[in-house]
Amino acid sequence: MHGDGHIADLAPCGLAQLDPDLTIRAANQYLRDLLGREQLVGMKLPALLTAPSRIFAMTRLQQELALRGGVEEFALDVVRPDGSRTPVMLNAVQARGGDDGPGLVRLAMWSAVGRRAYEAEVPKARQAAAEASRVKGDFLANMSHELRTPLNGVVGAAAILAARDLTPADRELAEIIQTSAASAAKLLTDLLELADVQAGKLALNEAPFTAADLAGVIERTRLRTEAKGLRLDAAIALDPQTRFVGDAVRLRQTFGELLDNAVKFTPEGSIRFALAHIDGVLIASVEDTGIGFDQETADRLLRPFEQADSGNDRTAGGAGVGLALVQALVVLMEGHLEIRSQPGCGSRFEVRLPLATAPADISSPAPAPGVEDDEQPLRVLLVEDNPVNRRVVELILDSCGAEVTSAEDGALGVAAWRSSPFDLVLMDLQMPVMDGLTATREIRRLENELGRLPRTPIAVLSANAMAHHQREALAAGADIHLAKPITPEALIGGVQTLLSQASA
Amino acid sequence: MDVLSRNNVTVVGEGGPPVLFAHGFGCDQSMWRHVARPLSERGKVVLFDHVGAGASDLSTYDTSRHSTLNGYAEDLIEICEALGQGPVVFVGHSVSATSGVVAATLRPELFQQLALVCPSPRYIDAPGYAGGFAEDDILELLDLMDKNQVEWAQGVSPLVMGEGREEDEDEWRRSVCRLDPEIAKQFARVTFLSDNRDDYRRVRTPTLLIECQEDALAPPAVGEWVHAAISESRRIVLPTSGHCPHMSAPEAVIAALTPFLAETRAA
Repeated sequence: MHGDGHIADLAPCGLAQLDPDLTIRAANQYLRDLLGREQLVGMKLPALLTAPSRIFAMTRLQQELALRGGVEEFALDVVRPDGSRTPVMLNAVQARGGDDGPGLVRLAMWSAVGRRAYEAEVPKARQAAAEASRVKGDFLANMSHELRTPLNGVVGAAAILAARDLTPADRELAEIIQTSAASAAKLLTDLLELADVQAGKLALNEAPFTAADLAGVIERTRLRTEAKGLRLDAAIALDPQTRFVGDAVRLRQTFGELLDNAVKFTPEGSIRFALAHIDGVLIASVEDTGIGFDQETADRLLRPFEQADSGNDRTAGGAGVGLALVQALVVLMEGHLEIRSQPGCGSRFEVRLPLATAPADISSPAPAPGVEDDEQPLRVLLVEDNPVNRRVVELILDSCGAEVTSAEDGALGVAAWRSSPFDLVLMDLQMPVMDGLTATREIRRLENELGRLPRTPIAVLSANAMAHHQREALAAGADIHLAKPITPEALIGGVQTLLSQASA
Repeated sequence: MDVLSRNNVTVVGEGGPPVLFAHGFGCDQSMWRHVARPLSERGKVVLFDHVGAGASDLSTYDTSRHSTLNGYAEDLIEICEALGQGPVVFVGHSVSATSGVVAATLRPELFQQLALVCPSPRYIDAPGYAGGFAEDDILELLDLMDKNQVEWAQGVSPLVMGEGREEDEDEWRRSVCRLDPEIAKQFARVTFLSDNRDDYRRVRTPTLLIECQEDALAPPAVGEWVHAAISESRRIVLPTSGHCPHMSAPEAVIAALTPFLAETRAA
């Protein structure tokens, strides 16, 4: 392959023929240029490689050539006389040896500068994409938090307003505010939960529960179907006393989302909810006579951030992220979601989840005492910096006859707690001077130090609705976490739960 | 655990003390094919695959045991014991020369003779010792191995001794030199980062050193060091180049081994 005008010199890669011991017999111009040498004949290939490549060529390349007959796209690094290195790829074949030993080696070698650079870029690009995604996730969480604070004011104020004596026209306006704010709050909650599940931050809280615990979701839905003139059929093939071990909250949430979705997209007709437990698998289905959708839409509904198609039926109010959340929760619970639907022919959602039954011997919790049952008014310490939020909570608790003392930051809250006894502390998290987690820890520390018993129940009120925020709050010594925006029902329910725990 | 299936031990031929062949880094027992086959016509020959290579039982790889050459030496000792045919003549290539040395210092009664092909007790340079490489070279080698993922197909027997039809040969060619990628990397680390110079100094077994005149992995200075370290050693430098004379010049290796083997077979 030597000399002027040899056809091999036209090849856009190095070509060479070598003895079995890898001594070069002939090489083309490209290979000479690649290796930076005028003369290659008589040189051994390993001597033209970097030390690591030399080791690999002699312990692997030669073996593959001799025993398997060839290699493809073998990556090595060559080194030139001036010490510069170049990554290369090579293909080579070795002829089968006859009686006189192993055969000749034919080789093609080309620069892999671009390819190695690309290979080095791929992990960096992947990392950058993951980082960008994380930043967007953080942004989403932060914005949701920012949105919750004003929404809290709207929800709370609208609830109080609606409870007043209003003209029919004003009542309608107040109800529109309430419904809209509730929708916005629901969307925010779903978004945050979805972000949590996707970030792997949402852990299942598995505990024994009874089948009856799951049924509440039906009554909640019945209120909505009745309001819309729909029929709700429930086929529960479960003994209410059957005990399971699982995350009842997430199960109810999953069924609730599916039922909400059905109510939203069914203008008339009926919704059927069926629940059964067969061979260790909980099978729940929600079937409606609603508008239905095609396969393309079905796929899109399960992918968050993609389903907000402008073609969506606006009268239905948009699909939200509920179904994507259902899908994420079902996967988290190691189950399976199946969707069947056709435009105009209703939809059917079926969830199958592995769910173990529990041995039947758990005493039911004592009934919770009502806030208003006590003769003495409930003494509540509210620690909250935002005046609107403070006012909303004060108004809600006032309406229940509780006696509310307010403090504007964590330090003032701790001082108020030291100066007089309280039945309950409601603690915001983000506050100036001293934040809620610190104040909670401080109260718990002081209880120990001063021997002040029984410990005061503390409920954390926070727009930080992510699961890890809840865990942080509980770790700091809080007893319960109530997500903002605070509604009268949620606040009163939370307070009742807390007091029943404290009295248990 | 069955040691013989763990290491895919192959026994061929009859007579004399068994000659146990151990393959080095980067391949499996098939690399001994051109030497072991002719020798099996004169006496018993034993071959095996290190765990992670060839048709060995991958599930027996032990990240702790196999993190040093002592673990591989223990495998060797267990193979000798499982054979139960008295002391063996050990023929080890490259890193396996070193695990043979370690095994012979731990259990000298199991080894009649050692034949070490292209041995190197330490690949990395040290004060007063020229191994030929720097530690960074070895770390770069591991990167290079990531770029050249070795192939692995467990359960394919390399049919080392197979010989016959053309299609058998093709089948054989596809099946040889399989390595588990992760184990291969660990083995590279163990092979090239170990320092077994003290073990070489302790060897009392009669030893034959077979080297290549020009070997970029185990240069002549290393051969001289080994020859000086093992008191009972003879040294043969083959007029060939490379690191695998048993593959590139099998006749020369057989010629070097034959008189050495005759010493025990005559005894």
